[in-house]
Amino acid sequence: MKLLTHNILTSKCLKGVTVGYPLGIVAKEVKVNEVDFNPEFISRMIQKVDWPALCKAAENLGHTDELPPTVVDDYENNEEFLKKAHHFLMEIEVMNGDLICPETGRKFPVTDGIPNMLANEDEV
Amino acid sequence: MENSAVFSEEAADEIEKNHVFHVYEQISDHFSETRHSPWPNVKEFIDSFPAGSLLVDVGCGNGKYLNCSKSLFSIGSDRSSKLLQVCRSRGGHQVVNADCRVSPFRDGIADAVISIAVIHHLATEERRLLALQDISRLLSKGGRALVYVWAKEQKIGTKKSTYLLQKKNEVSRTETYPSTILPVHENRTEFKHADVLVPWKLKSKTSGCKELDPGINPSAFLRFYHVFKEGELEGLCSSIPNISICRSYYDEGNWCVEFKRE
Repeated sequence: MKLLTHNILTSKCLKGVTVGYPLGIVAKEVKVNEVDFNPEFISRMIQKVDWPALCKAAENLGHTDELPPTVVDDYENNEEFLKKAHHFLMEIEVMNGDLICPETGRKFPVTDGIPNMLANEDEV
Repeated sequence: MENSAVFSEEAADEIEKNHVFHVYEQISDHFSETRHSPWPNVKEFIDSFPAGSLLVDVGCGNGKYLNCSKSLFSIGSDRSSKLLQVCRSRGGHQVVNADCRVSPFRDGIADAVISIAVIHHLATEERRLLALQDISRLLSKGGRALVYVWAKEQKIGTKKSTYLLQKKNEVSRTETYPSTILPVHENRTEFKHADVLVPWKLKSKTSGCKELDPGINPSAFLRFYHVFKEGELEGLCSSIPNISICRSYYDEGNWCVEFKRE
């Protein structure tokens, strides 16, 4: 599960959860892959990304203060910013661990890179 | 023409558990081998989105469409963990184990959504509509979705679908089980009912037909389908607020609808 994927995940599928976002991350195994950098691609993704959630996710993985707290002005032309965003969104992958619902504390396991967001019978 | 069966919530749960979920978990490898070529019209839909778009594949199966475009960010979701493992093994695709009626993604996040051959596995009209409503929820303003479902009509005019044309000259047997109230469809023939169980013949790579272990109940390989009549998918989509239907067509034995979020 890349952090870009994590950025769009929510536990709102559960009964009684109103927002369910962002999910906390407790990682047991993280992989870093090299992914081709495409500035246009990342610029477009940044428009969709909830930046504070991304910063929180990075923090959960032990990377405090490595990302600027807000999206910089004119980011489309700021290669250093785009490369940092690219690294966190596309190159870091949580392979094993848990995602935590911010409202209920319910854990969603991540196994071999795949988050299990299925609700139990009593949670739907 | 046969009317669709009406199932209680309990019966629908049982049918989907026994004749969709468990079957796919057991046939996943063989199933994946038979699902390798992206359908051209679906690929064309995916290619119509600009680079940097976000695509969600609801019911992604073995991930055949996740690889279609390198310039999009594609995320798949599926109920079957075995099929998701196949997705991961085919290039580390971003996939999530989830129910197609409540995809665990933020509202309005997707530029593109596809759901190809998925919602026909849901046992009630209410569930099928819920899935479509959830797909529309995922779409950003101006985003588009493409949904394919198996058609009850496998022959349009005189043109037979590939499904019918592949009928081999073998004597098909029909199987009935005392506890199953659904008709078992005879493969590669016209559909006589809207709600059917369709047999899956398990083949291993080396030999022809795999012998079933004595412990496995052969009814485990009957897949539940609600096959759609002409206009039925369109009708369901029409009832969803805030979307408009872009086009509606028949493609190789499937009814297809593309809709846009306003």
